[in-house]
Amino acid sequence: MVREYGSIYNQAITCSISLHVSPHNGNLFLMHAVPGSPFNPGEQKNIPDEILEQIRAKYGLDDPPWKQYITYMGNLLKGDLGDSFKKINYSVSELVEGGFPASAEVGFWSIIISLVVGLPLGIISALKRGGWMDWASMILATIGIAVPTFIIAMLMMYVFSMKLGLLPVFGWGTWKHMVIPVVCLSLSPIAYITRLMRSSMLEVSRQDYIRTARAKGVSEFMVIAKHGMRNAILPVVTYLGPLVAGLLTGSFAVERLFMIPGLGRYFVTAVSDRDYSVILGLTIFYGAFLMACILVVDILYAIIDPRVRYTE
Amino acid sequence: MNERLLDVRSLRTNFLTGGGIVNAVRGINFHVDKGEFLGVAGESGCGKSVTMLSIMRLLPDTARVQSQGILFDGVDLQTQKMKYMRSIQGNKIGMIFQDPMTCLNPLYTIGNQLMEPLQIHKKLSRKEARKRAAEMLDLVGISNPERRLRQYPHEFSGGMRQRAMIAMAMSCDPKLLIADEPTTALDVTIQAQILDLMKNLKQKFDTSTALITHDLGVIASVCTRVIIMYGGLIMEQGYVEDIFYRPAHPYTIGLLKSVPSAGERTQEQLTPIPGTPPDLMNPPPGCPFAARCSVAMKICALAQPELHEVGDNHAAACWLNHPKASHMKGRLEV
Repeated sequence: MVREYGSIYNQAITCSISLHVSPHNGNLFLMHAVPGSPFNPGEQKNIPDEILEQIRAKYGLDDPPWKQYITYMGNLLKGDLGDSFKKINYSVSELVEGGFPASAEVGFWSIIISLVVGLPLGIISALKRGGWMDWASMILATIGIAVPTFIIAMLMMYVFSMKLGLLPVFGWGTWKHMVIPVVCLSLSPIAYITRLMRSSMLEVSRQDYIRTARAKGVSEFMVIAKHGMRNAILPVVTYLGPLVAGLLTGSFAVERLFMIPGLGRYFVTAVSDRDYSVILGLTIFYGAFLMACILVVDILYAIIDPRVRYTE
Repeated sequence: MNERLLDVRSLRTNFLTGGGIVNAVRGINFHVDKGEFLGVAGESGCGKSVTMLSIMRLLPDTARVQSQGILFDGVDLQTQKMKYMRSIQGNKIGMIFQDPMTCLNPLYTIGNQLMEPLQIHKKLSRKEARKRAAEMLDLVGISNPERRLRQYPHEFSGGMRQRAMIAMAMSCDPKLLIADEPTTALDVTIQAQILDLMKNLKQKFDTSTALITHDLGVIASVCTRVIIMYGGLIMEQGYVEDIFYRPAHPYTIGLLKSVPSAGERTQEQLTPIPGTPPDLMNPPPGCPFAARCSVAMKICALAQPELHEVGDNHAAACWLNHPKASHMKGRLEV
């Protein structure tokens, strides 16, 4: 078993590391190319130039970009992501540690809901192709893809919080606070998973080995559960890697709307603040997370499909 | 010997498609005797596979099957519920398909798939089923069966996969084995091996076998009786010797002329049958072969001839065999 998967691990890990270096290199120079800087004289009118100079020197911003890059990479190797320029007394690692749990909690439940709802909907629409269930789930899927999250969020806030008074409008703390954000975040993944599962299930049900299974007298349930689903789920597994990374690391719109103390809000505020170290730190964190998820997907793929395994 | 195992009476199968109704099988009667090796021949799209799949109830939802009885071992399968059919499928009737490359599930081991019918029908435990599966693999000539059971279909060659399919179909000791073009997708040398295997297994277990093929050479080498199908109808049926040496239907004659034979007459010219099979969405009112037949008469395009006895257990659906057409009989000479 270990030997079978061994080379997949090796290959995937090497790949991840080499891929990982490129995005944040790009990001670093791109951010410097954008006009403005964290301590722009234009923005902070009442600070004398001398003090601004001192601040810039403190954060090493007076060094040429290549020197900043080398310093940053050196620190990164030691595991130090640096301090935030704008949030005084906070290091980037502390921001990630503070924000990630809330984002991950909302993200985790969204993933569970997406799978629990999306997979059965896709399978049912494929089996009852053309029936009312198929139409209903395809309409739902189209809405899920077409309508932006924040509109759904507003509507749900209005209906469930304002009109019915069942759930809190925003905030963080109890499970009730999570219901609307989780539903909002799962809608578009549900839509994608339903459509993926439907088309892949339809494809699989036309395969010869499904007919073979029926010819052996396998029950209809087992034909679908054993022979159909395992083959049909492969495209969904592929989609799951980026989805998990995206959802667990937080969503800007939803976290902002519902005042969730997560990671998502930093992504945008850091960019508008030109908070270089936070931007880079978050990019590295997200990148590492994405690579890890894709690696897990690769391994899952090999577990599900024996043809992907290397035996030599 | 002449006890009937399967008796099919006026079987009709239609497919509802977007473009209209396709009449794939248009009312055929045939039977499979106990211990017999029946061949069903005809060119692509003549309804031979659909006939067998109709009996097995393996057609998609768009198919409508009607008959006046599909008697298998004394039970009319037509009137039985799906639950009963499932207890027959893979148990009393085994089936092998055309393309062994796609007929095995790529995600499960050969062992897992071989054990499935044994666990379902014979209620064997995993251990017993595994033992029996290994015996079956050994029986179909796969060496080192224990190790092979743990392998996946992609680790098997085409011929070995077809052997595994045969092992799977034979594992519950079926009374009838339906083989739907089992050798079409294989190399010629492997074809011969698979046919030999099927012949041996048939003798060993006395399983009745219905072999679908478009290769008359295959029929000549293994079958005892033949049904020739065309345009969803049976054109001719009889024992192999009668069909090959005394064919009574122009279509059969055409088929025989288009088969190359190895041997002394190597200079002989092969004669293809001109034209294409009829459109089964609008089947012609007369004989489906009339448009391509070199000896067609006026009546052929107007009315469909019934199967006439032309000898002992030998019947053909051709107007030339009608008593009133006796003066035309000479036209049927090969």
